[in-house]
Amino acid sequence: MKLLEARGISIQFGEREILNDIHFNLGKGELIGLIGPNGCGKTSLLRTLAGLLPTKAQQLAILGQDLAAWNPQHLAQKLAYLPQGNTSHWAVSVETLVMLGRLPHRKAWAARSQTDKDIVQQALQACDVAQFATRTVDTLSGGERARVFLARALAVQPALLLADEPIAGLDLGHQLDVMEKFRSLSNAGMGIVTVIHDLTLAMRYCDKLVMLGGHGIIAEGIPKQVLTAENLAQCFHITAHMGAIEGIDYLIPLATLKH
Amino acid sequence: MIKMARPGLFSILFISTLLAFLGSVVVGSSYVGGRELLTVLSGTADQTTRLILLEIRLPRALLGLMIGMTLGLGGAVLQGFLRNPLAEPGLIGVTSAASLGAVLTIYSGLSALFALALPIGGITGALLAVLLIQLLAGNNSSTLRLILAGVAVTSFASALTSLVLNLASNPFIALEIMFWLMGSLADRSFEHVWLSAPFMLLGWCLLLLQGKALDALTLGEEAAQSLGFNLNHIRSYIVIGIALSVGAATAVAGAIGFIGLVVPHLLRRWVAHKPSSLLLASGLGGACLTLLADIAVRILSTGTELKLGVVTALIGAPFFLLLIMKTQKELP
Repeated sequence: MKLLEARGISIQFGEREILNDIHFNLGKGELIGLIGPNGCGKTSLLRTLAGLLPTKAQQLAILGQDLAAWNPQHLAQKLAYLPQGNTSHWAVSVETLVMLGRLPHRKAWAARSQTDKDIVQQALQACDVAQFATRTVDTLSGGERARVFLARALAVQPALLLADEPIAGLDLGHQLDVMEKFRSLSNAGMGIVTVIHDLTLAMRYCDKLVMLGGHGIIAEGIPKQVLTAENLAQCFHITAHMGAIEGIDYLIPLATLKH
Repeated sequence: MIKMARPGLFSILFISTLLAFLGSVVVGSSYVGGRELLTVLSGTADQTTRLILLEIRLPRALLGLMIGMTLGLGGAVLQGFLRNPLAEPGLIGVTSAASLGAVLTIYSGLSALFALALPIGGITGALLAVLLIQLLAGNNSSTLRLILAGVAVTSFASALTSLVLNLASNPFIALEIMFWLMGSLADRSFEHVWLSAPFMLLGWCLLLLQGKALDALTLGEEAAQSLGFNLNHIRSYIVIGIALSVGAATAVAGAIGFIGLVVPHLLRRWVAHKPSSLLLASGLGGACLTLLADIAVRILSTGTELKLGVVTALIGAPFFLLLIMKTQKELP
């Protein structure tokens, strides 16, 4: 069974067409990178897949069940959405914030259980933020913040995770940490879709890339098949150098193409 | 450390509120001490003491308690929902619409015919405001639209209230309206308590149930939705809860501003900024502050009694300015 199965997704904002007739599948243990230029609809697609945008889709099923048929709380136990920006409107402690990820698992009046606390501890440790669990979020650096918010999403213990630019603003070391984390989570069976701008990391860690542009999918498949000179020119209007060092592929943008 | 402090905070608030309530029963133009209080409780008090305590002071104290609770709780809920420390119940137009409803009953002379017309008019105004806001903001809309709808309803209701004052040919009626608009707990009876209490209680229940949703909203609307909360339902519950409780409060006591703004803000740091923990704390804090302000009004008054709404505004407005200046500094 597919974790996520979407056929014929079209997204419009008023008269403006964002995406047209998109097909998208996510299997168990799959890590998919969503790439494309700014404004091409990556975030809109991710939000649609998370059920946050009303959509005209022929089919949008999560864990084999139609999105409309899901009870919101049950869906929230299976699907975690990590939005861009890592916003916290109040200066709560890191632990409190990560505990919010347990909300879908708690009954209306239930207090947090020992299981909740244990899972939060695991999530804090997994994202390397346990050492500042008692600090308030407004005192964190951008990189610390990003990891805390990832811990919040992991505390849901979802079957699928939709992350919008989770490594934006992180230093190189923490970018690698987060992608390694994604890799090990997907190896353990979680399905992950992540919007990502760093094509070298996308190529290295993702099982599959989906390249968006011009209201549709330009290419999808194994990273090396997607990141061809032709596709990069069409999608990003760039030329690039691709190579490999110690078995790790890399991509360096060289020049923008006049168009 | 914070976890240790929280039960402490609630006991402090609870005891303070209880003391303020007792103070509100005891303090007034004629002295009633502990001994008199005991005689009333044991049923051996004389007629005058019974009348003062049970018919005048007790309803006033009860209304202070409930209205303060309403304003504190309403402020905490709206600040959490709108994620804005400057929000308060007046913001969504309920207070001014309730005022208009009450003012119309004074103007038309209905309130002179039977006393309950005034609160009924106020509650009707509040409910109409909610319907209008739901119509303007829609069921499927952003927080910004809710605020804008609130501003529109407030302006319209205030304009109509001014129109009523403008058209009032009888200066006594104009004066009565003016006094009523200032907000006060003086000369309220148990009728006012019975009429407003059910609405306030119902409103509190709706509001207190939203704690977890407000916590989730710490992460913003999308993340809250992805945690399984239906924001359209939550918006409706909150708007209706505010309308019932604040509408009823305004209907019996007039507009008492700034309690809903100041109290949540003062208490937020003591509950570690967690929106759900702030609800009950802010309700108790609001009750305590309103009761204290109402006691202050009685102590400070010589001859003409100061109006409660005037006093809370005098304290609240400078605080509001300070808050704006502080928020500006904190924002990048």
